[in-house]
Amino acid sequence: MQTEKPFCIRLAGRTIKISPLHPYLRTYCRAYLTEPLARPDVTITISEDDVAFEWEKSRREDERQGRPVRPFPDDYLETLAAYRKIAVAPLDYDTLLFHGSCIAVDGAGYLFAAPSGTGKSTHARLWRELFGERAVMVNDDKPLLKVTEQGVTAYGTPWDGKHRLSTNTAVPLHAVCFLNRGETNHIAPVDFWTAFPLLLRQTYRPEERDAMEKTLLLLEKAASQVRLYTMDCNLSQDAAKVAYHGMK
Amino acid sequence: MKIKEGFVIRRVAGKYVAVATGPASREFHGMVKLNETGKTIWEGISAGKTEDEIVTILAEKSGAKTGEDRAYIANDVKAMIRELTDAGFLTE
Repeated sequence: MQTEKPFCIRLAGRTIKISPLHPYLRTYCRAYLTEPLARPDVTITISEDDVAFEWEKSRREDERQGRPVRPFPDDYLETLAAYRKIAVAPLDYDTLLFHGSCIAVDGAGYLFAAPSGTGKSTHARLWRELFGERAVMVNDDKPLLKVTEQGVTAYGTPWDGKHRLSTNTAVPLHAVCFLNRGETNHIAPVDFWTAFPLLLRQTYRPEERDAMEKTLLLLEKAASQVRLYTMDCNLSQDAAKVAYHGMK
Repeated sequence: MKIKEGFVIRRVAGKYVAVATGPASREFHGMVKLNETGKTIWEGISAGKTEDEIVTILAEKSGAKTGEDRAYIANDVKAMIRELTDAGFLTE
């Protein structure tokens, strides 16, 4: 039963109306709040079942990893449930949900992709240290990518990772870089077919068949419109310099 | 030999990719890239054909005449089926 008042957020140029269970979700989304619209583009309602689903999923994941079950509170689990509900809707607007860290330098977006724990966020921090005010953190975890004939635009979202780093902004995406941990720093362009499975791995995958097809089409378009790189990197300041000069 | 429930192929950049949809997509995050031959093999498996029947289809398509040609094709088919099996896309 919804006791909280609904609110609207604006993501990637669309208005999403959310009916939450707990007050935290509104706080979580505060940088994206917008005037309530009578006719939002997307409407989502979070139920107790949705929250229970997230708890169950998190519990199973912990068990699979052989670690103690993390006691997440319901209001945090609700942010995950909201993310899952919102994830499929952007496809109708040619927009993908991507797992990666996106930073803009001088207004151009660079997106770092890698499995969790590789050091995406750390690498983005090195960029912020290197570029200071020239750098804007678009989103440290789950940016939205809008794919059009004119190119790819990266948007901030409230789902911005452990360190809560994002900006309610939109930047043209210049390059995607797949990171691997290495002893030294080396960056090289990759071809479409090397990049495509890596891009797919980092993209939210809808279960529904048509939505999956749309996801593949949008990814294909995105992959042919931005520069694609792979990089071996360590965690030194030099990594940020090598990455930037390799891609700019 | 069967393709698991929920696995589909879609055209991407002039080739095909096989991915999981539906409940299967919760467990399978990978993809397999297929060329035209791979697509024919996939469709053959979908239609319930045996490995040998798929080799015959491909041999006819490519106009293979000799036993040697057919052996090459049989090798390709075996390799593709192994790749799909290793990726977890097929069941017995």
